Amino acid sequence: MNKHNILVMGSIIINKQRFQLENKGKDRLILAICLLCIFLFLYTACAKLIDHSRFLNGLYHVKIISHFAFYISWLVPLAEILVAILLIVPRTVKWGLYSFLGLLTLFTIYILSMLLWADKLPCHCGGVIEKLSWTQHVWFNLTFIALAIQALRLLKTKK
Amino acid sequence: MKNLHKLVLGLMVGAMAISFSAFTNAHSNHIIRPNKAVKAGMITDNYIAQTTLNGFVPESSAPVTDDCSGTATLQCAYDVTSSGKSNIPNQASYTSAEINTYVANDWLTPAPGSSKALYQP
Repeated sequence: MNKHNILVMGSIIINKQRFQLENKGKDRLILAICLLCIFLFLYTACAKLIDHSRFLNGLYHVKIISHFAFYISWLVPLAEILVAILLIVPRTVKWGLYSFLGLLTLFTIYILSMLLWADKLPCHCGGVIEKLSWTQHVWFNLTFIALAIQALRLLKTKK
Repeated sequence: MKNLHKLVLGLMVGAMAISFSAFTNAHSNHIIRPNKAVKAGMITDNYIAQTTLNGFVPESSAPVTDDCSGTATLQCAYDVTSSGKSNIPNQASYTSAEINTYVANDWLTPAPGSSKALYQP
């Protein structure tokens, strides 16, 4: 084996090690983002279910959705729980992130439309998140959307 | 094994979220409500407001009659009387026919300052 071959082999081993480290870091980052998303959705879903009558009452006050308030009041927390389950199970993380992104985008569109067109802004999002102003709420959602997109990008580049 | 580790972590965070949510909501619900149901399955709230035309919902806090606007055939807000507490069923919403029956039976009285309008807080 000549000197050149040894050098090439060495660089391959180093690159492989670097690559493995990169993958490990990506894995940890994806896991951290997923855990954050699980916490957010389970926390808000439980808050909505624990004080369901209050959440339902709040939805009745929103003109455009008041006719479907009863169904929405159950559908939203159940969808949040389902997405959290998808994120918990390692095999369905990708689907979980996509559904998390979709649901949160839908919530953000709802908030933005409320900010633009509604006279009154009732928020019944559950728990301490209700204490945020509507603009802060939009930024909060956008941060989570960015995190989910980043996690999906990392998942794609992961070998 | 690696996947099992992730699953356990996810379940732990989930359990934390649920307990944290239960804790914060239990804290906010700790206030003793004066509007306890007299009979099981009967209305627990002290007020009923007309939030959409001929659509009524129970309200736990006194409706601010300044928020009554628009026109309607029935009152914007009603107080539930003590006999109403034992007779009005606990529902998410009430129709105008039901409200008329309750008013005729003195189970509901128009809230002070209420008018024939919609309650839009």
